[in-house]
Amino acid sequence: MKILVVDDSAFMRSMIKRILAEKNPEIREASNAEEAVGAFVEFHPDLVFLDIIMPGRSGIETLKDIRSKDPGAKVIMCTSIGGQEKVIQECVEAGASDFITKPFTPDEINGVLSRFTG
Amino acid sequence: MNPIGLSPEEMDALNELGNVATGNAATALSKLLTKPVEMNIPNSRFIPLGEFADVVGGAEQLVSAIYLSIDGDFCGEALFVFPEAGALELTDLTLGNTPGTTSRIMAGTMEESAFKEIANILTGSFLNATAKMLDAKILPSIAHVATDMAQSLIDFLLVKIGAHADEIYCVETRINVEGHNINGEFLVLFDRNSLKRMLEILHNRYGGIID
Repeated sequence: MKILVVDDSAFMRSMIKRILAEKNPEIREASNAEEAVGAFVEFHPDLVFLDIIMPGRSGIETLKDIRSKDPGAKVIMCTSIGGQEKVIQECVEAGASDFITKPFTPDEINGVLSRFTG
Repeated sequence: MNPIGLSPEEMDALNELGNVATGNAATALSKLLTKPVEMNIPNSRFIPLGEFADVVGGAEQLVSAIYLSIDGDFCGEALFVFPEAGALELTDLTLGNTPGTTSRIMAGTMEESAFKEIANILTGSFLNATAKMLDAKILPSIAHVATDMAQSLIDFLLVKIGAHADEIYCVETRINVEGHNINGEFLVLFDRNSLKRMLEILHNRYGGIID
């Protein structure tokens, strides 16, 4: 299983990696849109955890870029503003597979992992 | 009387908005730290510019602060201010370290990243609740960290928010993490145009409560 974790926060990437480590996936990290799209093309992850608020291109723009490379890409938006209907709508329209609102519990991350990688 | 002529009922409506939003933020911080967090009932008010530094401990107080811009349907700034020792302890707690492990929050370190994430999560939760009540989209910027005299930070923010008047509207609440010496201030400043639009929406959506 291959997972790409995209977040400008090193702390948040570390937290997600620590939770995912139990399942022993191959993990790649990216801290901005450009790195994320590059890593997606090269790494072909099964699942992407993608932050929305990042410097430069936002997570929603990054989601669109990723979906233009692979319309079937499974991308979980992982954000502190996931409670806003208009933000959710925008992400769904851009092709988001699901949402996790920060702060999250290990169960929430593992639940998404089970649903999307079975 | 406040400087933009809001009635007591309108001020009360804004205070209630702040109350719900800070409750949401406290829950989020508690979940991140896995510890009980208290945020007192917010004090939403217009503060004279000359007194603003007093809110965060006085003009000469050395503080560690995180600030974010607020954008989208409403604009403003969010600011978290902690005495330096509290900021270090909060960072240790977030990272799961023994208190006293972090001695400085240096740029580009995991400690800085963790400290910023606290602001991201608190502000995001506050804005989620506000957006829900106002059917709006309100986005935080990325967070910035600074350690400086309180007055320098306040001056910087007031320039950013374009505070042309003598007083500025602010939602202020105090954060207390149970069992730890962590007491900080969380301030959200909305610009006046945003405040007026918020009140229009509150009138339209919940008219009965503030007419």
